[in-house]
Amino acid sequence: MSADKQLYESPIKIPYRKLPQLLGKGIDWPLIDIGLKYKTKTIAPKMLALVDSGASDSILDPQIAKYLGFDLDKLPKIPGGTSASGKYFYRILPEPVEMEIYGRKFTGSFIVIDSPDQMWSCILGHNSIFRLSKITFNTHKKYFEVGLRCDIN
Amino acid sequence: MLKYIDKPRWRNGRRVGLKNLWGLKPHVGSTPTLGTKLLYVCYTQIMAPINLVKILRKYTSGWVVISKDNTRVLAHGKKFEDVANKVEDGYILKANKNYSNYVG
Repeated sequence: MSADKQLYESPIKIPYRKLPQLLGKGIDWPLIDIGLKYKTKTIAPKMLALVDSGASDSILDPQIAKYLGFDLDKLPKIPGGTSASGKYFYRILPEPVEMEIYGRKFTGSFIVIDSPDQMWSCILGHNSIFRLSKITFNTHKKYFEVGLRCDIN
Repeated sequence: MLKYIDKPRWRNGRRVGLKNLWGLKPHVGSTPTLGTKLLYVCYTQIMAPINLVKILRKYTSGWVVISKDNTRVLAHGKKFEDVANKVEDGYILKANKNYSNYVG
């Protein structure tokens, strides 16, 4: 416990966000607001990104990657990615993207999945938010906690 | 199981002398006397989720910017560039009819 206190900042309690559902009153998702920047291009306002404990990589929508200045057509299309819904093609962004999470700045690597029908514009997986913080999901209490690491930045 | 008894029962403890009474009129302490009805409050620390269902219902595709207080949609566009940097405050989200079909 005391070791955790040295490693992580006091956790930020974030309520789940309830989003529309076809059948039902809505579905709760753990979303955080994140600022994105690549070189001189900044996205304003912030994005709502999904904190996905089942994702090994972090994913950006192709439209966002293009907006930030990445030329996706020049990046190799890699087959073989696997999600719960099947196989997909993806491209690896050649340089890290700057992220602002609750006042702290980090850099993270993203991939872009070659599909226009993605539900989420930004997914934060194990190579970004889970590397930068300690996340505790309290789904039954309708909130999750993010304790950012003290030993980076 | 909780039992309510009509008559207050005997309560241990000194009730006269050598006790600093609070105020002029003597009365029981902060712990209610046995047998009196109590109001039980359960602190479960449940945080209400931010409900965006109502404001997002009519936006089934494209991109939206939700206000910082989560009460209204400030901008909507078919493409990301239609909403990016159009509004200073808020949150950008991809609009979907149904957010429940995602499995990571």
